[in-house]
Amino acid sequence: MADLGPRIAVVGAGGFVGNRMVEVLNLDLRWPVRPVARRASGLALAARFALDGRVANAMDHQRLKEALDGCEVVVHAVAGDSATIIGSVEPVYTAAAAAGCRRLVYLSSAMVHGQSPTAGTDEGSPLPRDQRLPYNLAKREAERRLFKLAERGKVEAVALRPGIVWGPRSQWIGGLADALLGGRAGLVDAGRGVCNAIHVDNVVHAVRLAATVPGVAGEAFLIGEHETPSWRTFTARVATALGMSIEAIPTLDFEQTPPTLQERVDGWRQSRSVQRALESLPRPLRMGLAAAWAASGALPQARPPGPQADLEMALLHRATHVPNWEKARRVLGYEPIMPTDEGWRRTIAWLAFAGYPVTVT
Amino acid sequence: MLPSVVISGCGAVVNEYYGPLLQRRELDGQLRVIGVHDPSPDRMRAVVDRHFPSARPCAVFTDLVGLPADLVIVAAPPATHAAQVIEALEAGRAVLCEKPMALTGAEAERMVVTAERTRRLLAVALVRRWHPSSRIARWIVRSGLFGSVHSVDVFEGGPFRWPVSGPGYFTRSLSGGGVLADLGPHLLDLLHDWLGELELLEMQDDAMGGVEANALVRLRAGNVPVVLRLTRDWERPNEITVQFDQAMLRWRPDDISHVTVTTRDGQALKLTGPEDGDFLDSFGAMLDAVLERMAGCPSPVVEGREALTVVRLIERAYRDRLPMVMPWLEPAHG
Repeated sequence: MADLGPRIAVVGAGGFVGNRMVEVLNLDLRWPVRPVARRASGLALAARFALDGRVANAMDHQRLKEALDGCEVVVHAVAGDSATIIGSVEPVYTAAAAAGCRRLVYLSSAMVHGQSPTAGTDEGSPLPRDQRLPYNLAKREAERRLFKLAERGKVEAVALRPGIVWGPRSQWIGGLADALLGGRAGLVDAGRGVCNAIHVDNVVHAVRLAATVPGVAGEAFLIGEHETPSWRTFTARVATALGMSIEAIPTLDFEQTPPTLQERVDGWRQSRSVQRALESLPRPLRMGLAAAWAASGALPQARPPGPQADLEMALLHRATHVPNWEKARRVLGYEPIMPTDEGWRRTIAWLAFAGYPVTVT
Repeated sequence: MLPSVVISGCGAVVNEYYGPLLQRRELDGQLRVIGVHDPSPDRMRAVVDRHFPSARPCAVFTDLVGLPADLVIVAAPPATHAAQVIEALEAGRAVLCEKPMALTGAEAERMVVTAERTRRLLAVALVRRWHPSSRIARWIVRSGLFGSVHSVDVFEGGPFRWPVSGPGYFTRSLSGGGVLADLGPHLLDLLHDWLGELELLEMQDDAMGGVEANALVRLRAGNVPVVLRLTRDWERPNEITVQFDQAMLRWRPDDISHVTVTTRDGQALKLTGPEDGDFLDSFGAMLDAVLERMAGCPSPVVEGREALTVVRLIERAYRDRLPMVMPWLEPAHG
């Protein structure tokens, strides 16, 4: 029998994890859930259920406040570029406070520790500042801002740090299938590195705990699974389902190169001192800089056909350790609830449902 | 005397297509847009300001049909189609009604009967009939050029991005349903036009108290099995595949101009229509056909009586719907 939990708003309900959260909270737990999406079109999946879906941009305090009214817990599952990741934290937090919410669960990422963390990495490890991937820096900065707001605010903040979130509708699954079918898939160093994989249902389970376990305000939790497959094994699961041999997936070279100018400017822009300086600028100037920045990042870059390794892929495929998620187990009582084989069975069933040419179930 | 047009509804389809198209036609001196109606003053004002500064904004639909228009374009939410179309026809106007024509067969029947009684044109905006690519496909299917048809498979959709105005769009009472009510009229109309009468065998969808994001419809056209898979969920190659005795036809519904035919000996032919174009051109061709028909020319339009067949088919599909099998939605038990 399902227990009636707190009323939860899922901001970012149109995304992969947000959508699964709405499904689980509504179908399995029967908790009152309110999907919130940036645009009405983002409610297409949530609309399968008879729910009170709301439209509010994560940067729009007033619309968000109205959308969150009456909810005890807010889950921040907004995806997007670095500006969205960083810029959405304060509006969501302040709207949650204005709406009288008790707790905000922030969906962060294990990538705050980097794609290739050192042995023994846990929540107490310093978060590296010299990372080259803007996503990592943005998540790191978003967490920092959230906990700073929560220090003086009334809404409790809890952050979760999952790694590679897989399962039905994951880009790590569908995107990989697309790459395999399109002849664009490859493995760096034969994919020997460990994959910090976590099934989306385990992430949702952790969110449920983070929303309800008392005394965890201000805490961040790494979450994971007991099995840590190699990237080769992970890729082989999808390839095999599509009737392809892992042996046919090429091994790619990737040479670490000095940071590009774009990467250097990305890192500089997301440093704390620059962020502070930007915040002190008048709003029109800040908006102008943001627009100019977005335009520069959107410049098309020629990409040759065929498999290509990029920095993220190289770091992931060469990872030697996954972070330690013992704290989540100890404090939240988190244990993965989705067995790996069952997770793959469901994932491959979804691939077939989504129209991929699955030959082996 | 230029034909005069009024528009009911200032939502996405007007902003994306009818607005730019009619504005262009007005500037070219081909017609006049004399009135616009929408219950939202903001939406109506935005369309008037952007496209038709000389049109009269009408807060009430009755005021719109009271204007001396030759044609009423009904592009309001589907739940309002029947009442608005009937009122416009009774007022002596010709009507171009957006799809879906109506939410039920009974509503559509009343619309058709009214059109026949008042002897006014009721055309339905099944715009894909005007894509050059769909005309090529139709000709190939109906001519028997590559032999008889063995099977038809349709997979269409992707993450939903249509700029709808609010969550109300995703309600059965306003839209008639989900992805089947949205894309189904286009595709079932084409299949009906190409293959003849369609028999519904089965419909599955993933609605769980709301409206579906995924639908699977199995049909039969004579002995030809037809599978229609629609989605608002995940990006996949959108394709209509027709298997013939001697070849396979592939058409991407977003490709306005081309179809590809692969013969049994492996030759791939890319067939192109007489004119290249975009979606707006197809809307333009459809509008031209409607205006020509109003002027007494025998231009082909999809009349209400023909569109009624598909409305009934969709109504039956929803009535007999079965839940899709989705094992990944079951609770996890560790």
